[in-house]
Parts: sequence; C-alpha cells; structure tokens
Amino acid sequence: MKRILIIHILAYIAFGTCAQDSAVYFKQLQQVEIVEQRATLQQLWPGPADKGLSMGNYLDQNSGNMVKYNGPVGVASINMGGLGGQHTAIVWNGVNLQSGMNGFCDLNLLPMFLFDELEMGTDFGSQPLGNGLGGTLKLNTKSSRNEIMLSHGSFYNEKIGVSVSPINGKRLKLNLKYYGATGQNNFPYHFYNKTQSLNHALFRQQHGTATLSYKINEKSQLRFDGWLMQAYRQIPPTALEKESVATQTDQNTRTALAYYYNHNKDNRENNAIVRLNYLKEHIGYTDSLKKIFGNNTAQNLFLIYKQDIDRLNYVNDVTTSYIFGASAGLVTASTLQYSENGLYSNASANFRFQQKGYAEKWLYNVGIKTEKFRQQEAFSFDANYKYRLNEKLKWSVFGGRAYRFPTLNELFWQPGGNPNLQTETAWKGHTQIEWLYKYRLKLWGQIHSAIVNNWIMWQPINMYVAQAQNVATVLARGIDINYWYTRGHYGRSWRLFGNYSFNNTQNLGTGSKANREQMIYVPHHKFNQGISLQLRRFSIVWQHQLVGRRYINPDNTEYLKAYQTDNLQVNYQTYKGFSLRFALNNMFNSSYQSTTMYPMPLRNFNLTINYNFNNLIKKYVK
Amino acid sequence: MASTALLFLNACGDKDPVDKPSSTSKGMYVLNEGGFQKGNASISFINTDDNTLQTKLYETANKQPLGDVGNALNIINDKLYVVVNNSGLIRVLDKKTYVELATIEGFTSPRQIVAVNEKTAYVSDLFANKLSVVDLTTNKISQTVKLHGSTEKMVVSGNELFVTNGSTNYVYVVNTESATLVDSIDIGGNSNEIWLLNGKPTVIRNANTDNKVQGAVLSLNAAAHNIESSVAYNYTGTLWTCRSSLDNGNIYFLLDQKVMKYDGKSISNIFSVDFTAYNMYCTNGTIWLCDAKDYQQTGTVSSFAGDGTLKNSFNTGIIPSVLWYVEL
Repeated sequence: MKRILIIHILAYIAFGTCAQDSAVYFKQLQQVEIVEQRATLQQLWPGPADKGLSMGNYLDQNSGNMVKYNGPVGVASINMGGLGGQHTAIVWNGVNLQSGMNGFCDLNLLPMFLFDELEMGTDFGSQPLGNGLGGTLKLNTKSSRNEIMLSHGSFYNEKIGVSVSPINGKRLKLNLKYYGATGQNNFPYHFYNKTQSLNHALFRQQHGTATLSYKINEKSQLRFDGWLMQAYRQIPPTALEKESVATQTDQNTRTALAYYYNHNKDNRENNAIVRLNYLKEHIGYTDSLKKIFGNNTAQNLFLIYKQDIDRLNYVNDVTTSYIFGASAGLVTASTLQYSENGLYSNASANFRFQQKGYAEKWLYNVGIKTEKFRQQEAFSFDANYKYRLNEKLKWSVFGGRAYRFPTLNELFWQPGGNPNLQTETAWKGHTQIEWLYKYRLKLWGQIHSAIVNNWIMWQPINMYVAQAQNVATVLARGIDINYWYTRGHYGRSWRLFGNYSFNNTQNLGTGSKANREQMIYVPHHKFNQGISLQLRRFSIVWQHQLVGRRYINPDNTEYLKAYQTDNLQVNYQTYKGFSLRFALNNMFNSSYQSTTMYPMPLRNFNLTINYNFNNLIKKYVK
Repeated sequence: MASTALLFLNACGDKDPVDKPSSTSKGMYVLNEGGFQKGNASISFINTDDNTLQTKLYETANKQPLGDVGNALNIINDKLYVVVNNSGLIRVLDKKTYVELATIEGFTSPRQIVAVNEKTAYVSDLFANKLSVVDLTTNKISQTVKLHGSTEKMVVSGNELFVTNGSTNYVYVVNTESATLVDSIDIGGNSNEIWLLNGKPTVIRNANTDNKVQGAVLSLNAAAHNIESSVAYNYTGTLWTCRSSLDNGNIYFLLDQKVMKYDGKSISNIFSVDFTAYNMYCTNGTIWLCDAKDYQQTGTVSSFAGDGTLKNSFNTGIIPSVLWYVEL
C-alpha cells in the first residue's frame, strides 16, 4: 500500500516523457510490402533508451502480454491473447523465426538493437507452417542506422552494438549490424528466509546482420536480409537444486532474398513479391551430471510468392484489392533424438479480398488459406472490419479460424514424440476500439475470445517420460487496454502511460479430468503503469508493473505469488547524437519468480550509451 | 494463504486436511515427491485412527520448502530421514513435530538411506558412481564406496549390504564393516527393488521387452552370492521401476494397474485398480496405493482391503510416492 502511495505521489510530481529518437535515419530503399490491412494492430517504436534491452524485457515493460522467463537466462516466450508461447508467430522482415523443432522463438536471443519497429497483431498472420493463434509479432528493419551502443550492467552484464551503413547510394544500400552481449548473472536473491546466489548462469550471445537493397529500376528492387547468431548459456540450478552443470548452445542462420515489383498506372496498382527464405537452427544441450545430451539441427527453405492487384474506383472512392499468395517449402531435421529424420514438404495457397472506402473511412477484408505439411492438411479463414466513426474514434472487429501444425519435437522426439498428433485448430474473435482525444489522450481497448481444440501438451505418462498429446480444449477470453495521456510542449512535458491485460484461459478438460482451471503460467491480471517527464534534454521514466498470481499445476493447487516491480530510468540526449540512459531496475528489491524455483534478480542497474553518427556520415557523403 | 487454499482444495471425500503438526498415534507418513525442478516435495500424514490428513508438515514446521524431488523416507534411531534427491541432501527431522534437526549434505543425487547399525547408514546415488557412508552421530559423510551406475534400494544381511542398480545387470555386495565392494551378482537385468524375505535378499528384476529381459522375482543366496531361485512374471513393455512392499512374509508389487503378490514360491494378481499406481505400501493386510494422476496435479493415496475393496482415499500432494506406517 505504501509503495502504491509513493508511486502515485511520484506520478503527480514527476516530469518528462518517453525518449524519442531524434537522430536522422538513413532510409532503406522503399519497397512496397504487401500487407493486408489488419483490423487490429499495435505498433511500437523502440527509442535509443531501449536499444540495450532484449525483446523479452521490452515487451514485458511495454505491452500487456505476459512474458515468461524460464529463469534469468533460459528461454523467454510471449503469451498473446492468453495462449501459449508456441502460439505467437514471430516474423522478422518476412521470415518466421519460430523454431521448426520446438515452435518457440527465444525472446532473450532477440536484441532490440537489431530492430526499428515492432508490430503486434492479434490476428493470425500469414506465415508458413500454421498461424499465430495468439497473435503475430513482426520485427521490422526500416532504416539503415549508423550507431554505436555500449551498455554496462549489474552482474557483469556488458553489451555492445554497432550499426553501419557503408553503402548508401541511390540504387544500392547496405547496412551491417553487430550485437554482442555477455553476463555472469551471478546475482543474489531472497528465497524464503535465506539469501542465496545464482551460479552457473553465464550467458553470451553474438549477432551479425546484413541488409542489402538494390533498386533495379523504378518498378523493381531486390533485398537481401541475413542474420547469423550464436549463443552459449549455462543453465543455472533452481533454488532447491544442489548444482547444475548443464549448458545450451544456439546457432542460427537466417537469410531472406526478396524481389519486389511495384507498378502504378492510373487507378491501378500491381505489387508482387517473391521471397526465398532459408533458416538453419542448431540447439546443443549438455548435462554431464544427469547424462542428458542433445545435438539437434533443423533446416527449412521456403519460396513465397505474393501478388496484390488494387483498383481504385474514382466514382465511389472505393479501392478493391485482390491478394494472392502461395508458398512451397522443405523442412528437415538432423538429430539422434528423433524417431525419424525425414525431409518434409510444405505447400500453401491463400487469397484475400479487400475493399476500403475514401481515406480508409471503412475497410474490410476476408481471407482464406489452405496448407499441407506432412500428411496433414489444414485451412484457415478470417474476416476483418474497420470503421472510423470520426477523426477520434475507430472501431474494428476480427473473427476467424486458424490452425497450428505440430512441431518436429512434438512429432518425433524420443521419448515422448507422437507422430499421430493432430493439428491444433482455433476459433477466435475480437473487437477493438481506439479513441484519440485532442492528441492528449489515447485509449486502445480490445475484448478477445478464442477456443483452441486439440491443444498439444507434453503429458507425463510416467515419472520419467512425457508424451506429446492432443489433450485439451482451451477457452481463452480477455481484455487488453492500453492508454497514454500527455501534456506540455516541446522541451517540457509529461506523459502517463500504461496497459492492463486480463486473461481467463481455461482448460475445459477431457473425461475424468473435467475442470475449468486456469492454464498454468497465464496470470489473470497484468498491469504496467508508467509516467515520464521531459525537461529539455533530460527525461525521467518511472514504470510500475504488477503481474498476478500464476498457477503452476493443472488443478491450480499451487501457484506463484503475484509480484510488483518498479523501474526508474534517467535519459539524457545531446544534439550531437549522444544519448545516455541509466536504469535502476526492481528498485524496491521485490522477490519474485517468473518460472517456479527461478527467483529473478533483486535491485540492479545498467548504463547505456548510444552514439548515432548518421549526421557525421552525411557530412562526408556530401 | 497457501495453507488456507489447501484447506479447501485438498478436500477429498469427508477428510479435511489439517496443517498444524500434532501428536499422533498411528498413521502413515506420505512423502510427496513433487515435480522435477518444481521444488514442491512435501510430507503429509494420514492418521489412521480418525482418518484425518495433515499436509505440508515440513513447510509448516520449518518455514521453508522441503526440496526438489523427495525420493525416500526412513526412520532411523527414532528420527525421520528424508532423502531429497535433486536437492542433493537428506533432512533429519523430529518424527512428531517435523522440526529439522540436521541436514546431511554432500551427495550428488541421493536415492535411499539404510542404516547398518546405530552409528552408520549407507546412501545410494543416481549419478555419483559411489555409495556414501554417513556417520549418524555427526550427520556427515565419513567415507564412500566406489560403485558404478545408478544405485538404488539396499538391504542389510549380516555384515553385508545388497545394493540394486538401475543401470547395470548386477546386484552389488558391500561389506559394511570395511566399507568395500566384495562381490556382484549378475541378475540378468536392471533392478531397483530389494527386500529381505525370509532372511534372503529378494530382488525384483524389471521387465524390458526391448532388451528381451524377462521380469522376475529372484531370491538370492546371501552367503554364496548367487541366485537361488527365480519366479518370472509376465509383462510386455519396459518397467522403469517395479514398486513393491513387504508385509507378513509376502512381497507385493505393481505392474501398472495390477497388484501382484509373491509369497516366496509363486506370483499371483490379487486385484486391479482403474489407475496406474505409482507406488504402494502394505501393512497388516491393508494395501495402500499412490495415484500420481498426471504427475502435475495433487495426487491421491488410497487404502484397499486385500480383495481390492476401497477403504479410504486422501489427496496428499504432488506425486505421492513413499509411504511409511508408524505407531507413535
């Protein structure tokens, strides 16, 4: 209570605003992405102060979606719409990053430094190998930055990021990025009445990305995106484990070569994209104590084609679009843990019809997709409708059916893989309102509901073996609210912002296990509240987070307590491209666990320096 | 709050769980194993006089969790010894109040503890490739005996300890006076369970269809260190461990849903249940079975008459796995 009071007092006396990246960007060549206009979309633009964060930390602080950290250095995943981590599609510049083996994309291995824009859609997306039943997170690289980032934090956490654009011509542009991070993470934590220290928690990662775009002519261009990543982490013991010697390595190669075509004539527009995506992922796991070893590699190759034909009717100002798509792919895995290491083909086709009125006063689209993977066929369809009641108020609604194919681990892992698994299917709908009042207040709210059939779970069949089974029907319903309120003018302003998420995700159960308990690790409530204050080049940001009780077993008899954390940031930005960020995290030493038996760090800090030298480069270019 | 919640959630039938430790007369200790890396092992007590249940007794008495994977429980020198496997320790408790008297540490992955006399106990280990010898007066490891593989249950016969092994085909013989490995007996397959039946170490060999190992109950000659007799049982598949109990000169063991009885000469199926029992305990003709359910939600301990008639049932904790009857 005392803490809440302090927060509110500070909220009223504090001054500042979210840091904005005022440095000049070099734009990548403008390609026309074919993206059907989804009814429900939230865009986030990370500022320089966020460049040192992982995707997990950034989304945890800036969205109502639950980020689950499997320990401080373990895999972090995001639950959208109250569903699971495997139900969130994570797409980087058109490439689906979800692991072909386990279906997850580790948010701890997605450094914010590599991205410029995030789009969170609560629709299904259109990536191969199924849909994002919970939603889709798109990570976009929009600009070519010249920037250096250095960060030092508690527990020997050091980060470096370098982004350079050595070629920045009218036809050819090249951007290269490097990001490296290392951390001992040997932090103290409170566990019941004792203070213990985490050990064996070293985490290292390195990333290199390249974006090359070449303008062939006024109508077409080529773009290549490449991403090499390697990571090493020690798996720390849980709070009640004696010791751990386990380690995990991750290596990824991700490439995408895309050809864009755009042609406008009179009232017609014709866009086409041909994209070739190749992904290779390797996960190694070694535990010499418990004699568990893994050495698993998966690769996939996808050829994706998309065509969009738009026609504007001058008489009634209605634009009609026909969007066609098709993809063909190959997926293979190489691991001793699988009962079979085959080469599997995938093919899909989709079509969407869309119409929108003058200045997008209204818009609707309907789409259908059919896909085949191994011997399983699935289809999805959805409809979006968006209506602008006036300049301040927008309303949209979405509904549809989607699916998720079982992952390779779920099918073939030994022991427990189940080649007879059925594809998960889901019905989902939501409605959303956006209200903007005098550019001071923005409210964004959504009510959503989904029912997932054939939910795949790893069910223990004895003490030693869990088996992937289609065991559950899950009903997920909830509310998401985002808002900000700002006052002031340039150089002196304050801003109140926050989000709240309520999720009721129930396992409807089967047979004798019939129950309507909350799914594990899905909190009913998550709440972020922040206030920022800007005074010329300084800004102060206070963020408070509440995560509700999370049950950790299916009958909800055991749970992790709700927790609250508070973070404080002080930012300073110069005219010459420098920005400095000091962050004090978990100020009040809150003891909490995101995953059971893995207490998270107490109070800690990091200091991040950014230098954007775009202007400097521009001088030399001139 | 947790205890309040449990007060309501653990209800099974008309048996209300009580959290506070109390003096008891007769009843069953229940060690709930808890999930691997979940840290939710716990101790419950079923009072068989009034059919009441007490749960989370260690946490209540000591204000801390018991640990990760409770694997074994034993009463030695009138104290309760609880082997907590993945926490690598053994907790020594007052058997009435559950207050912790000592902690024995230094193990890699302890499985079972067996006393060979008032001052000495042996502890088997899943990964350490050795047995630990514990000085019960100091509660410290005094020496070790090198022994390859995953050692499991043990019985004492004279001055020798017979040790089963889950990863080799042998039962090992250790001289408890010199703490040395003196012999090994090839039983043709791995084993976890061993009892002293009519003075003879009697081991249950786990069936393994893949490796063409026939499940059997083997009676060993304690002096000659060989197999004296064996009786096979039929099981298709692989038994990771064949849980069992000794009562009135019979060994009872589980084959999934079947309760089997070995009387020293033959094996028979005495009754079956409609769940896969995780472990069992037999005392005075009553057969207690642990139902771990899906290994994640609260499991049940039920008592049955010898003909399979259900007597009572209690929701004890996550993966009820070890039972021990006491008269306090």
